[in-house]
Amino acid sequence: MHWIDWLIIIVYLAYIVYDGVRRSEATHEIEGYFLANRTLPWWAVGLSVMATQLSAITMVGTTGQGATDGLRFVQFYFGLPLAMIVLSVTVVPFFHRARVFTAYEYLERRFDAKTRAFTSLLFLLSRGMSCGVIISAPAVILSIMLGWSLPVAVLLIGAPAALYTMIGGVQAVTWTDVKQMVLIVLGLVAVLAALIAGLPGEVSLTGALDLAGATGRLQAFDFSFELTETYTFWSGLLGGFFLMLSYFGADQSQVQRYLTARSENEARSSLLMSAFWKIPLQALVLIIGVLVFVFYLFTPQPMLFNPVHEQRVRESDRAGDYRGIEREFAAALSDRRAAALAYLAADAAEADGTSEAERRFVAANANVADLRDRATDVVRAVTGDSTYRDVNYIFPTFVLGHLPVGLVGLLVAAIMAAAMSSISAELNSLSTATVIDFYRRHFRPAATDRHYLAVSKLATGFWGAFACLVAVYATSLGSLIEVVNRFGSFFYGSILGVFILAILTRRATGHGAFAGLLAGMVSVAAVATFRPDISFLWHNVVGAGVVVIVGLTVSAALRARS
Amino acid sequence: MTSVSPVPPVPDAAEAPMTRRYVAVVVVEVVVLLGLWLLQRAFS
Repeated sequence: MHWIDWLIIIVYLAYIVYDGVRRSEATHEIEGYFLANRTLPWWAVGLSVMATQLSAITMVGTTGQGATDGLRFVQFYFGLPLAMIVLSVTVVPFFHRARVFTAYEYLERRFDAKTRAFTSLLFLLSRGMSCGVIISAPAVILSIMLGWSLPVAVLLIGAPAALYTMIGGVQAVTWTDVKQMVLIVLGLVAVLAALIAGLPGEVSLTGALDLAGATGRLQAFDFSFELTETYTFWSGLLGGFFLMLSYFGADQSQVQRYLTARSENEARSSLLMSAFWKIPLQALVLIIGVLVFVFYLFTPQPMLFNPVHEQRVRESDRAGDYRGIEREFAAALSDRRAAALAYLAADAAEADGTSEAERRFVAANANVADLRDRATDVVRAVTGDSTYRDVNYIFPTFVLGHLPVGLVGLLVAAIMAAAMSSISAELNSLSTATVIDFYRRHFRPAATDRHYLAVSKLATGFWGAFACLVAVYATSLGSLIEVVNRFGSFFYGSILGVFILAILTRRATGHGAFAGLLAGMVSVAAVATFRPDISFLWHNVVGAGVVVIVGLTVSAALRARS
Repeated sequence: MTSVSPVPPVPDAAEAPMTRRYVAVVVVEVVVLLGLWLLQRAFS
């Protein structure tokens, strides 16, 4: 990287830490530290909600998905706007009027202490690990692409976020999120402009979209009702609806964002900001990925985008095979380029052979994809990693190799901002649940505010260190993290079911809700184990449904018995 | 074993309903999805 790009990254890191740390001046008691004394404006909270959801995995993974798979992933978010409306009408007034610090605190008021402790513990377990993954994913990519060591990359992302969150609390989280969100959008718009400006002279934007469309990459809708298909219109609208209800309504990392709003309606407005902007923003990220695909039609691309794995293959006994595929790949790239230009020329002239030219281009593109698959198989055989894919390296390769000086630094800073904005919100919420749901509730119920503030800062620091440790060892903890993620997916919808029982019914009791929660988790685990082909988006529907049915049934049975 | 009312404390009287904003969310979502569908149709 050029020194100007380094300078941009250093300035970004220095400013964001300074901006976060200076918020400690306004934070002298625990309600200020965790909830900003419920005084924040809706637009700042709304940007913080969006920044928390948008992690670096979105920046590098979703763009890569756009390049290889097109727009279909956008369907994942179709249920989000409707979920936000439902949450605005139901959950927001409940939490706001109950004056709680955590979502789980409300469950004790409505049910009992064990339901609160169990749901909060599940949150701590899953978020603590996922925070490590959020640091690890961009750290691994940046370390490979920029030649940093992994611990250095982890510390560059995790340590500043932990530092300003620990010192400045939720004020630091929110106001740095606002700036980081602006930086992320600025970076995305800049890269979109660079991609359009970087198209070859003979390729217009319409031509680029024609090429993307011919390979199915503008296919945003799949109306089939296949439970085994991950991203369809229906799984996004219904499964996504339940997932977003769980994430924004029952996950402390998001609930805490809108608890800081200065009124009920400002909390609602902050959620509705995502309702308006999330789908267009995701579509923008995916379209950038699609245009990166078009860019590489006319610019030589590496056969594999992960240079470290490629190097391992070159040094292995399969190097000969790999070189053979590479020779075929170079010829296939040149065929594809010629076919793309021929298709555009035929399309522009509206010649009779347009469909034939399109067919040839699609076949040439399929040949390139096939050779990439063969090369990927070689990597899998050499490394023993059967899940290896290089999708997450496509966008960083484009950024570092083809963007002008200045823009590279801006984009690397934006990727770091995306990671840090999610990490800070999660550390803040992990600390809140630790102190409010456990320490203050079970260990020191009558300590001074000053004491709780000190413990809260220590808890934030502890979770920050824990997340960095998980991130450093994430590659070797691969299977453990998968277990934790699977475990998380088992209870996400089930916790939503408990909140549905709490808010929408009067008949549910504490024991009923707890029994429902356990039954919901077991049901989702059973579906995931015996029908692994069913898309995870439906797990939340199953979990929430079972909790409500079992919760109401057990409540009624116990009431009848007593 | 008791059943507790889920009704939270009295609402803030100053809070106006946001029905228009909810309708706007639905309208914007329909327009965005229509735009994506037209993009898909135009270039497939």
